[in-house]
Amino acid sequence: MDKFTQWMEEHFVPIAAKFGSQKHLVAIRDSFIAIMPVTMAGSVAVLFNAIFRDLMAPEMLNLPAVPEAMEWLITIDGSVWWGTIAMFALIFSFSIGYHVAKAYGVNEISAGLVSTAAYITITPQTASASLSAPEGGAFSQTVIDEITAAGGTVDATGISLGAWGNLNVSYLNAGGLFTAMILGLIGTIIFAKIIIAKITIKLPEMVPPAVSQAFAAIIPGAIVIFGAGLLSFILGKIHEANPDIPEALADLIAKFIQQPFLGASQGIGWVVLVVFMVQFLWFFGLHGASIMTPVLSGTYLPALLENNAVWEQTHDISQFPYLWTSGSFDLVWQGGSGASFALLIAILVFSKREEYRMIAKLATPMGVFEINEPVVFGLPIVLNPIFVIPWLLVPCILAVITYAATAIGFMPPPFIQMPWITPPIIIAFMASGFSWQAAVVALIDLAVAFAIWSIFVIVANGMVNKEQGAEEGATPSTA
Amino acid sequence: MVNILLVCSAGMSTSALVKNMQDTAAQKGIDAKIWAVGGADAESASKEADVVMLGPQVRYLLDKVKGLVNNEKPVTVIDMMTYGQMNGAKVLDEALALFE
Repeated sequence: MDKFTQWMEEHFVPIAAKFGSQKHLVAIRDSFIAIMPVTMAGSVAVLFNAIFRDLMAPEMLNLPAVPEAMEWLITIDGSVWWGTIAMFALIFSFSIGYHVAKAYGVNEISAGLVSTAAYITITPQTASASLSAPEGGAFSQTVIDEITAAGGTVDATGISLGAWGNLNVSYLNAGGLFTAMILGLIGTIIFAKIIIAKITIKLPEMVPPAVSQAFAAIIPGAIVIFGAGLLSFILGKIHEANPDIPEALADLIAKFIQQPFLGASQGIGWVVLVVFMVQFLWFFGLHGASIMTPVLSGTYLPALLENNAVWEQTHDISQFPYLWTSGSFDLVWQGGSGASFALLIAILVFSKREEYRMIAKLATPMGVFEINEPVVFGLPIVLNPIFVIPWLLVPCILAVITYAATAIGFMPPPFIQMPWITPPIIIAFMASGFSWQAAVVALIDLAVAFAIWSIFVIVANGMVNKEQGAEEGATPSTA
Repeated sequence: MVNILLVCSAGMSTSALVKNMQDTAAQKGIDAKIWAVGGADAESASKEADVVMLGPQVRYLLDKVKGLVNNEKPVTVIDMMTYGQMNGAKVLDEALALFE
């Protein structure tokens, strides 16, 4: 064990550290962190509607007076949702440009704005509206003639209208996230490299810095935005030649990258692997969830948001495209990674070791809010030869339980983004639109975690503090 | 007056340690500004700091933060056990020792 951990400290930890501090991955992570206020505002709106509208529906509490009285708030919530969650990719395109520019040390605001403009540049300008024919019938010949003359397309079943000057929400919401991310990343790298290569308009020294910075961004900004326009043009030509290939970059990326990627991420194997990796990193005292944010936020957050979009449109859980979302992990990591909330209870109930009880008392108030560094470093979990087994195992088992409960349709996949500091069980209840079933699954998870952790806490009772020396020697020497 | 900056992933867990450090500083009558930020905000915050201390869970940011302060200010990783016990007095002593 000692040899293994030593080998890992020497070989695995530096790689994980590199991954954790790789500047493009840091930029992606920071971009997700930065848009939290926006997505949280949207989530609060969804949550209000879940309380005042969906919870009061006939099949739930059946209190129609509440949504009637709260109609003003429900309307406001709809507008807030439209400005936040429905615009996720658009808003993200600014954030990614800003943070990549920050990593390269060039003007962040210019880069953010250029990234947003480039994103809109590749977004189709036309939207089509379709109107169905009256039930059981077709449009009369007069209507068909008039609409055809006005530029619409009519067949027996309905009317399609091409409308210029519109942005389709499906390109701006989480469905366009990968496009915004890839375009923002590549576009801003090009933007930054051109600035660093000093291919810019130079102004005399006495010009104020803000003015000269804005001028410095003109040529690189134009190159990136024109590049996006050129890309859009080329895709249009390819689409003309081969209509099977989508015209819009967002459709192309959605079809060939985002959907396959998100689809694959839904397999139980991937879910358990992601959970395991986060646990494994934490075992070496590295912030697993933070290092894995590009994966957690890049794949499972869009899954949650797309479920959310379906909910807003249909109110039908059975139509949700994704089973496992970023909210599902909150049933696994109760009280923080490792389901450490269960560990704290197990220690308070069973532990005879004074130092464990002391840490548990200190850590429990924070554990309620999903902060568990005192447990990880104080107990410690890091390089702990007894607790390594439940630390790696428990969350994987909970992931399987939660996955199975969702897959058989017992609980809905979480579709409301909650702040990660929301206490265990409550977070599952709220994230799944006040589903008591989700709360039950969270409780079962907690009970299973408590049972397994208890065994190891009792085992630890019998051991003397002989591992203490080894732990102190294992303090990392990253300096 | 000494400015001590603590950095962790989101600035949440270190804020508990910050509270303990502030209490100790107040007891001992030490004039110190102590605050916590997440890794994303380390750049701007480090400009105002005299000493930067990283939580052990983000120790992989050490080289990045050293670069942010051009190696002109002391940057260190807090010991895991000390961090886990939220031992504000010990971390404060360490910060003051680095400052001098």
